[in-house]
Amino acid sequence: MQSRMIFKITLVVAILFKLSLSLAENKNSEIALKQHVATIKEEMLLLGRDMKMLEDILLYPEKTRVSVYLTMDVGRFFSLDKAKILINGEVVSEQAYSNREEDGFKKGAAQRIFVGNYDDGKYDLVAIFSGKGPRGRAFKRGVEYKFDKRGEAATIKINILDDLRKQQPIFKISQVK
Amino acid sequence: MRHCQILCLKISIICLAFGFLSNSVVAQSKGAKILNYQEVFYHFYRKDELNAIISLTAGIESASLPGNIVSNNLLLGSMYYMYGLQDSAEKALRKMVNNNRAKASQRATAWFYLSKLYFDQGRNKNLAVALDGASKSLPASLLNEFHYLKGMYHVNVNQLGVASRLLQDIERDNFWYELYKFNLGTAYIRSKKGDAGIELIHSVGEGSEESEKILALQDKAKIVLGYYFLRNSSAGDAVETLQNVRLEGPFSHKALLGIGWAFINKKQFRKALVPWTTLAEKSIDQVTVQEAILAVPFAYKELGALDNSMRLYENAIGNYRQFEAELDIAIKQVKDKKFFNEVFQRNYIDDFSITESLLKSKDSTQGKLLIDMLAQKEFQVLFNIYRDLQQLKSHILDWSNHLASMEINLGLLPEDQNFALSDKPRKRPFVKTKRYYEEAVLTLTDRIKLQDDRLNILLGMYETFMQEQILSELNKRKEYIVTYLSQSRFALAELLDEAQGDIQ
Repeated sequence: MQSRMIFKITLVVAILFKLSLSLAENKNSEIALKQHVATIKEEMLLLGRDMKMLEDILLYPEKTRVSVYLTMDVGRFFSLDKAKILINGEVVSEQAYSNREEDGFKKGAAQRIFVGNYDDGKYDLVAIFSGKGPRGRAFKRGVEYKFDKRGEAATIKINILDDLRKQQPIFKISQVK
Repeated sequence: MRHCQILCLKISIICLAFGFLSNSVVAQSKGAKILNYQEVFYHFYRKDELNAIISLTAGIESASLPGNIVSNNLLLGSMYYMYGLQDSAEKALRKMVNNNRAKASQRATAWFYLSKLYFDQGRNKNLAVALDGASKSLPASLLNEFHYLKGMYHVNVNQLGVASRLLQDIERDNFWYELYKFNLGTAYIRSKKGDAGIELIHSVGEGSEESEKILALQDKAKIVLGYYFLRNSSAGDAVETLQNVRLEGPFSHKALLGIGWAFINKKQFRKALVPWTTLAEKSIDQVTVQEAILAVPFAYKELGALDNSMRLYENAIGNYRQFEAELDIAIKQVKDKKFFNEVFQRNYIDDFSITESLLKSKDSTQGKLLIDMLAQKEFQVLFNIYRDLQQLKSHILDWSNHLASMEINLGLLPEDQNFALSDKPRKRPFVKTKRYYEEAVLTLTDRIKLQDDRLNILLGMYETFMQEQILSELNKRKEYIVTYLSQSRFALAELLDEAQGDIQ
C-alpha cells in the first residue's frame, strides 16, 4: 500500500517536473525568438535609413525632384476620404485615408503624397479631394496650381484649412522655399 | 492593464510630439525641412513606427530635419520603445540623460521614459533611479503619469503605506488617478488587507468624467470586487457589485456568470437561472458560456425540476460534442497551416487586413476562436510581432525594386559624373563620384539579400512558434470542453439513476 503511494507521488512529481521543464524550454525559446526579432528589426532600421538617404540622392535627385506634401489644419469643416494628384493632366498619386491618418493630419503631421522627377519648366498641378464637408454632406473639390521648376527641387505644400467665416474648408497650395 | 499603459504612453508621446511641432517647428518656418519632420509624425500617427524611425534617423543623418538634434534623440528613444526595441530605446534615452547640452526638462523627460521602460520590465532598482532623475523639471503634461509610476514602484516593493500616501499627488478627475486606485486596491486585496482594497476599488471612476476608458476600468474593478466578495462568502455584495457591470461591455459575460454563482451561494436557484440562461444562449466559443451551459441544468436540478435539468444536460452534451468536433477541425487546420495561411499569409499584413480576414471568417468556429484569442494580451503581442516581420518583408521587396531603379539611373550617367550634394549635409564629403554610389548600391544589395535570407528563416521560425501557441490554446480549450462534457454526462447519469431509483 505504502509503496503504491510512493509510486503515485513519484509519478506526479515526475509529471510536474516534465511539465515545468517543457514550460521553461518554451519560455526560453520564446525569449530567444524575441531576441532574434529585435536584432533583425534593429538591422533593418539601419538598412532602411541608408536606403532612404540613397533614394533621395539617386532616385529623386535635387535637380529634378518634385515633392508634394499634404497637411491639414483643424479640419472642422472637412473629413478627408480620398485625394488625387495630377501633374500636367497625368494622375501621379491617389490615396485613401483612414480616421487614424486624418487624426494625424489634425495633430500636425504631413504626408509626402507624391515624389517624382521632372525637368525644369512650367507645370500644372491639380489636386482633387473628396470626403465629408460641412454638416456631414458629401464634398468634392478640385484645386489647381501652376508652378515653375528651375534648377532645384520643387516642394509643393497643399494645406487644408477651415474658413471660419464661410464655414467651409479651403485648399491652399504653395511652393515651399 | 499593460494595454492601457501602452495606450497612454502613445497618447503622451503624441502630446510630446505635438509639442515639438506646434512650439518649436511650425512656428519657426515653413520650409521643406519642417515638412520632412512632419512626415515622421505622419508615419507615427498611423502606427507605422518602422517608417517613422527610418525617416527620423535618415533625416538626422542627412541633416534634412529642422530643430535641435537633442530633441530628435528623445523622440527616437520613445519611438524605439513603441516599436518594441527596448534595448535601443534604453540606449538612446540613456544617451539623452547623459547629454549636458540637453535642457533639464529634456533630461527629465528622458528619465521619465526610462522609468516607463523599467516599470514594464519589472526592474525596480533601475526604476527607483529613473524616477529620481525625472522628479525635477518634468513637463507638467507628464506629471500625473510620473506620480502614478512612483506610486506603482512602492506597490511593486510592497510598501503599500507609502504607496497609499502618494495617491494624493495625482490629480483627481484623471485616468492615472483611477488606474492607480485600481492597482493599489488590488495590491491591498492580495496582501489580505481587504477593507482598504474594497474602498479603493469601489471608488474607481467615481467623480471622473465619463469616457470609454474610465467605464471599461470601472467594469474591470467591479469584476475584481464582485469575485472577491464571492470568494469571501459575501454573496449579497457580489450580486450588487456585479449587477453594475455594463451589459454591452467586455466584462459582461464574466459578470453574468458571477451573479449566477452569487445567487447559488444564497440558495436562490431561480434567480441564478436569469443571468445564466441569458449567458448560455450566447456563442459557445466563450469559456464563460460553456460554464453557463453546464450551470443552468444544475440550477434546475436544485429547484427539483428534474425533467428540465435532464433535457438541458442532454442539450449541453450535444452542444459540447459539436463544439469539440469544431475544435478538432480548427486544430487540424492550424496543424496543416491551412487556416493560418488564410488569415496571416499575405505579402504585407496590418491591423486592417487581420481584422478584414477575421471578419470574413467570423462565422466559422476558427474565426470566432481567433477573434477571442486576439482579445488576449499575449496573443496581441504575438500577432503584432508577426505583423512587424511581415512589414519588414514588404520593405525588402520595395527596397529591392528601388535598388534596381537606382542601378538603371546610375547606368545612364557618364563615368566621370560627380554628385554635388546641394542639401549641405555636413558629415560627409560634399562631392561624390558615380563609382562611390555604384559601390553603395552594391553594398546595399548584398545587405538586403542577407537580411531577406535571415528574415525568411525568422518568419518560418516565428510561424511555427505562433502555430504552437495557437495549438496550445486550442488544446487548452478542448480540455475545458472535455471536462464539461464528462461533468454533464456524470450529472445526467446521476439524475437517471435517481429517476430509476424512484421508479423501483
